[in-house]
Amino acid sequence: MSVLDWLLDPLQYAFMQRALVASVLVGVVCGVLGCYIVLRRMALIGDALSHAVLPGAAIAFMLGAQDFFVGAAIAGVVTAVVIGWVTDNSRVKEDAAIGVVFTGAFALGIILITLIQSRSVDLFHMLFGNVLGVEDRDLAVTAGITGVVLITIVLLYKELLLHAFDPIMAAAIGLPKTALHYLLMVLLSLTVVASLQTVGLVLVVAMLITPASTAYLLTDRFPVMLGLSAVVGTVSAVVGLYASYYWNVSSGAAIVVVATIIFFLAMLLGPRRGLLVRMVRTRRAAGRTATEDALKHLYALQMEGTPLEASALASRLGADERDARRRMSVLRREGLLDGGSLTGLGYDRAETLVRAHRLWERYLVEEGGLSDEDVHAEAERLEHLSPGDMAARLDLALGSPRSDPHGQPIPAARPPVGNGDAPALIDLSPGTKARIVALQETTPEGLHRLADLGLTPGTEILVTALEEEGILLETGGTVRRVDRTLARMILVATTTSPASGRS
Amino acid sequence: MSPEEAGAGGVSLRNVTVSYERKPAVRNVSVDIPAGESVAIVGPNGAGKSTLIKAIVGLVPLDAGRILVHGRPVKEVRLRVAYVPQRGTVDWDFPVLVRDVALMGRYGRVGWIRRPKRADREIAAAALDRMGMTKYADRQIGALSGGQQQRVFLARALAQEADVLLLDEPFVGVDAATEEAIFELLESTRAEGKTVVVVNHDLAEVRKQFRRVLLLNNRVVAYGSPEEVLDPDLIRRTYGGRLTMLDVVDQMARR
Repeated sequence: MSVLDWLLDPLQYAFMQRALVASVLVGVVCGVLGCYIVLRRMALIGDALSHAVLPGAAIAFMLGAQDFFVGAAIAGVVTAVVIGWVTDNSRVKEDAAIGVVFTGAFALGIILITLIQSRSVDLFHMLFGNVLGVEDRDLAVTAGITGVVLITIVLLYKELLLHAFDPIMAAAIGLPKTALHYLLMVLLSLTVVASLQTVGLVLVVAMLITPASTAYLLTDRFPVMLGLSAVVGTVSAVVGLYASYYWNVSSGAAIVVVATIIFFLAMLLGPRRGLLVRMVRTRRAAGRTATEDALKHLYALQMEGTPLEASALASRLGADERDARRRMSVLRREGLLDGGSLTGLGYDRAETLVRAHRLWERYLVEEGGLSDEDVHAEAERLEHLSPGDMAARLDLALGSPRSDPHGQPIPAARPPVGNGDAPALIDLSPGTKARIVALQETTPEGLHRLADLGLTPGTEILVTALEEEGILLETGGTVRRVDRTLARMILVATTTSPASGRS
Repeated sequence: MSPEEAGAGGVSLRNVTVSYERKPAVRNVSVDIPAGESVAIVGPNGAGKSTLIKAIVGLVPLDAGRILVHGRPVKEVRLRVAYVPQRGTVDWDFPVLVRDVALMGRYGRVGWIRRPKRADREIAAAALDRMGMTKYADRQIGALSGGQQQRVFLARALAQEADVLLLDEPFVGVDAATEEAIFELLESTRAEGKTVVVVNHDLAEVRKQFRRVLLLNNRVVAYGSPEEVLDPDLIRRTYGGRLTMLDVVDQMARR
């Protein structure tokens, strides 16, 4: 049997055609409405309302009403109102109020349904769905509700978006907060009714939450989220339907399992926030650390006068020779190593790392009270995480020490050519006079702003005060405030400093 | 409209008392903010500054008193009032882009059910441009710095084209570029004759940027020009001998 036959064969049956249409409708309506439920953080209330429609549907049946969905929708809204009332009028918080009210309503519904079970209402099918048993009348209800819900959402698109995103502004421009909230509750109750035959009321919350959450992981645009969620919902419903047909499993359960699998696939493989992508990023960072370590050890070997060979590097790294050779070839590719010696660039980079490492050690011993033996491992980690001006800040805080706690010399800072080792404005203490030597800011707006403030290379400045938000300085007789971000970008050479350092 | 209210522009508060979580946060405040004025509300934490602003916007019910905007209850003139709450009141992970947020400023004017038109998009884009946020228009709002987020919400308020602008602590946690953008905004809106009310902490800036200052500590301590109101004695009374006093003195000295 070909795949096409496998897909088309079941559709020769009218019940299967109805089931397919119902699945698509439910996938779309739950997917779309679910976005609002997820973004408004109403997952719990969605679960509650879906259970609470049961007594409404049961009472409608008992009254002999053909349109039991009206009873269900009324029960949903009544439940939402009662939850709000309990929250507002007792010390019970909302989550507990939801738990009290919906379980009570659900239990009442079960009793009522059991009482009328003889009359054509199957409790099991209401709870877990029976998509293969969808009849024309059910289909009409589902289609009608889907139409009403989608049209409402299209018409009130911007009102519902603002209500979900920023309820305060929504209220400020006069949108009726309570009315919109209960409108969502009505739509939610109707959607639950529309989904009863397909997924059943126990699992319908999954169709509201899971496809919408999947879409939320994958996009930053709300209209895209609505569309993606509808697609995920539909795919889940249709795949679940076939599973239900071929393996005779509960349709609701099959649909929800498919939706859940899609969710976890998106979480693992999502293009931007997926765990796999993040893992690759972490590994790249680890690779950089490994390369930098190799560079540092090669530098040490070169200082000792030992030839830079893979075997020597391997023994220093505690790694095997193949690993050492691989790291050396990475360094060659990056132009840091050339044949048997470090290039000028490699030498500079290594010294920067060693400087950061030894300054960190010194800092951890002096300021952190760690013992000499403990600091090496910690400094090893920190040196790779240090932004450009970190070494300069440590140097200043420590009063420019010459050696690390083990007595080894700390290499001097690289000359201030914008590589971040010159002190930045942010490192200066009040009373310090300095000259701006370079700007690390590279965006045109940033440079423009600095120029507007009169802060260009060669300008003499006097730091007058440090504030929470920034640094006050005087230049050419006027006082300027520079925020901390900007102050990091301005590299300076001090001309006079106050008596005491900033440590 | 009674004769005394006829033609009254700006914002007028009469004997306003408002509760926050069942405790009175603002007591018996009577203040007139003439149209086109810029007012800074200054006071310690818990002085009812935010509550007062929310009351003007109509977000919290009044226990007593009356607030009129351009001589009418705010409900009738909502389109003429724009409000920027303190940062951190929205979900920054929400899937909306910067330009979507700016466009929300137009929602009130567009009206129920109707879609924003091209003119609305242009106004929102111009507002973003004025706040220097055009190049971030396609970013998700969570991908911005705190200052940039603040500028987006200011742009949204600008897009509302309101003539009363209420800003709650716009300077908290923002960078220098944003601070500058806010000052420029205040200056230009003033030049356009709009009424601006800002909750602010920085007394030095208040002195430079605002024509009137309201010292508030649940009730009005003083209201008038910065020269009249920013008097060490009055400030001490506003801050009631709390430790924040030290900051106040610092700021005064720095000026």
